[in-house]
Amino acid sequence: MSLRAFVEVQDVTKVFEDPKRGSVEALRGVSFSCFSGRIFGLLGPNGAGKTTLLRILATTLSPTTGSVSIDGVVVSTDPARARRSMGFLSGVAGLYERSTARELVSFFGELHGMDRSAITARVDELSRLLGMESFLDMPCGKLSDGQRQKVRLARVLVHDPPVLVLDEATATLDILVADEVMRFIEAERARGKCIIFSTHVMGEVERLCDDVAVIHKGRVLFLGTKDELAQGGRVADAFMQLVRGASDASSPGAAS
Amino acid sequence: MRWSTVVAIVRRELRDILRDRRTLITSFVMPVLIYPLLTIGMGALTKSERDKVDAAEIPLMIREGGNPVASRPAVPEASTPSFLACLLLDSRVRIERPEFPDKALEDGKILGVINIPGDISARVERREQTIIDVRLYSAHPLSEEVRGVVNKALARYSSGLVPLSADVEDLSPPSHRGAAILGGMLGFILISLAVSAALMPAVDLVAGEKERGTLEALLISPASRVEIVIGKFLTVLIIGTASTAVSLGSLAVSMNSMLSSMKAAGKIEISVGPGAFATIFLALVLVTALFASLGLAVSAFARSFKEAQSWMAPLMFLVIPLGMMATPPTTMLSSFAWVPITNVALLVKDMMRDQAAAGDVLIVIGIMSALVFVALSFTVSLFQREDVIFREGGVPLFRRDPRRFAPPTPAAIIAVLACVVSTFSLASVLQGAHSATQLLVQQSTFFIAALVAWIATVGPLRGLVGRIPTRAQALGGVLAGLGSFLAVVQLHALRSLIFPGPATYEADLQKAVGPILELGAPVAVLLIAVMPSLCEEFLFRGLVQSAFGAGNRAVSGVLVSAGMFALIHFVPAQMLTAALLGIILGVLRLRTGGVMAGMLTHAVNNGMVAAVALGGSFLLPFAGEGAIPGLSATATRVVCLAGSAALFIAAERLTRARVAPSASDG
Ligand SMILES: Nc1ncnc2c1ncn2[C@@H]1O[C@H](COP(=O)(O)OP(=O)(O)OP(=O)(O)O)[C@@H](O)[C@H]1O
Ligand SMILES: [Mg+2]
Repeated sequence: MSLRAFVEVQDVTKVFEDPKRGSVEALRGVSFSCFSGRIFGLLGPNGAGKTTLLRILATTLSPTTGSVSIDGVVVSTDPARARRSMGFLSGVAGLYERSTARELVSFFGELHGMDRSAITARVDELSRLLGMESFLDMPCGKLSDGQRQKVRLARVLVHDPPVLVLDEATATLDILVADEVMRFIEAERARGKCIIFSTHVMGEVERLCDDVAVIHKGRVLFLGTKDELAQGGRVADAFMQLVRGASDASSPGAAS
Repeated sequence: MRWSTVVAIVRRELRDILRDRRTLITSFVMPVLIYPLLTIGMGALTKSERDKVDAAEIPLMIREGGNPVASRPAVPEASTPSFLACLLLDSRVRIERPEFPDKALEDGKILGVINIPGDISARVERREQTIIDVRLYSAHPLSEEVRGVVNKALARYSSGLVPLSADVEDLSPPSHRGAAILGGMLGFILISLAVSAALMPAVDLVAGEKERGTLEALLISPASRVEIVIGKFLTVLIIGTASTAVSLGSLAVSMNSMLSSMKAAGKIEISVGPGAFATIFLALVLVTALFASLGLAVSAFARSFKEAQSWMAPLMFLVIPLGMMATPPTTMLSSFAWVPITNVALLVKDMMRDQAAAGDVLIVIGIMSALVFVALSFTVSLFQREDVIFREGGVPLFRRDPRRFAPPTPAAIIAVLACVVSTFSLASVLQGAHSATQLLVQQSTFFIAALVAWIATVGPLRGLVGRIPTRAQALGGVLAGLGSFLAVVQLHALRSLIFPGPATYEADLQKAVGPILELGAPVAVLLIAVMPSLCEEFLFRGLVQSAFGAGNRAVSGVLVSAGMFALIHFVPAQMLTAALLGIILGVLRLRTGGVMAGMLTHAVNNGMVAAVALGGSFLLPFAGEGAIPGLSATATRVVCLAGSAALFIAAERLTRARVAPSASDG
């Protein structure tokens, strides 16, 4: 395969200065590459640093050292451009409760500088793709968790970015909606998107991921393809073995 | 109902609240600080206003039998002074003779016109009804003084039996009269409304978004931080301005209907011209803008809506004293145009009574606009900091190395509060009281604060007292007390070089405790030696030192408690010696693991003070003041210093003797 690395993470460390705990090393020398048309899975136990890493990709946090580049451009030199070429979905992100789904998605379209007609067309398209027609004009406060997650996805995708960063995108969903979301992700991969994806559900990893990184206490324990991780067995077993091995080596990790 | 359950719940809730430093600060520290400051500040302000008024000239036009008085009569008549002479007894009165008296009144060139009937003395003699006709212009802040001058003259001139009175006519239009009465309060009320109209939406727009998890999505969008802040700021400004406009309107309507009866009688009226109204509105919009951006800033680093709201209280506490400063009738914009908030409140008042100078109005607008700009830039800078937006704990504005400084415990905060309360109560409330009362109040505040804080936050009281000293340690405490007395007297010589005051220790002592000595020796010993050594030791070595010196911070515990101990002595000259004593006592507390040895030291030191004050001044040479018979002054000093050092060394040996090295106290 002649794929080019679309997102490159180089030797990223992140230290939080926490007033109570002192310096917290959330990431230590993390490097990997993600490719267009592939799904990159980020695995790790609670508090491993996944959200921190994805936030750095999304420019809301800046790395203490190291750099991230998207499409060859170092993110910190032009964060606005990085944000335009990326959609970041966090499982815990909220919605404007008093806005309708349509208003909310349109608002983010406006922030991306899209014009009215383009926004209308895109909202209609997304609502068809994600099956949002029935609740498009309902206030978000009244939606179910599954419906809300679709609105979040639509919000992230409104400008059709080449990179998708998804932090636990299916965490609160039932298997039916989760399946819908995964099918959508697969479709986006087929369209050549570069997708970075964190999850605690190993089934999703089995189904979706091409490449995988396992991080634990801010360090990369494993980097390679899914098949290399599973080695013919189940991903879950390989993951547990890795993390347990690392935990035994150091002291038991604390949950975040 | 089981009371034990209720008590358990109360205990848990109280502990929880006391551990939340923010609640402690907003519901205790702020009010405790704000009201003494407010009283002291308002007192000082009123006094300075009064002084200004007392020093101001009062230009008057005085007519006697229709003829304007030209100037002060050269020699005041001796036997029975005329009414004019009575008026002129007030040295502030200056006589003017304007061509158009009413115009001069309105312009403030003169403050009053006083018509004295020509035949006043004859009429008074015949006990006929006599009226002094007074005209003034009440919109002018000093017009009240004219009444005062006339009333004083009336009182001097007649002994009350004479049917003599003044008839005061107010030439200022009813609207100005209304402004003079309501202006100060109105400005304050309008500002408070503008502030709350800005703060509430500001909290929701950022802290609310954070809490609902929508802020991150906004931050990840291509919108820049400046755009986000300005967008939110304008939203708050629009809402706040609209709300201010509505409250202004509603206030105007209700005031008008309330005042309509008075208005019908032509007495009072609130009417503001369009220009003044627009200026007032602009100033209020600037207040809204300032607090809109301050509110955004505060809610940017609050982690939740509730936290943001608890930060709003301090902002309100900022507004109250500043707004209150505008309420005394004599404060004028011209003298406070540089003070934000106060200047807006005064602008409202002076605009309404037509007394605001254009230059001052410009200063107000300029200052407020500059502040808005600064606050807004500050808010933008906060939004650009990830440690603010994704804050996990602590206030990033006061960032510090967490390994070196741990936050003070709630107990420490209460202890600090107690010191502040007792010091301020001494400074303001008890100023005139007998020094024995002051001492009693202060000492019992210390005692109660120590007990309450300890029970509420630490636990069994035994810990407050700490370990019982061994006999050797007790002896060490006594020797340390003697040593500190010697050191204190020596230090006095040093401090009288720095601070003004009586040069000799004895004179200084008499000045400080003189009134207490008059109550008799037993009371004096109780108040000077016994009470402080009990109460102060409980608070400073018991509570404060434990609170600030826990764990491996023993040294900072000693220093903080000594520092606070010095501060509560209030008189700068006493702080030096108090700091020394504080350190000695703090070290003793560490050494012996309890406060009792320190109590002995304190009691011996203060007991020596009482003994000297009660007639034991022959002891002083042995403490180094003056000369021991047969020695020179310098030699005495050297001997005493050596004695003091020897005593400390002995105390050090004695107290160290039996302390287990594992003692994990502090
Ligand atoms: N703003 C912050 N300030 C201080 N420490 C932080 C901050 N954000 C994260 N951390 C710490 O960094 C570490 C990694 O956290 P992170 O949220 O990235 O983990 P995670 O892998 O996403 O965990 P989870 O699976 O539970 O979501 C944790 O120890 C966390 O407490
Ligand atoms: Mg996470």
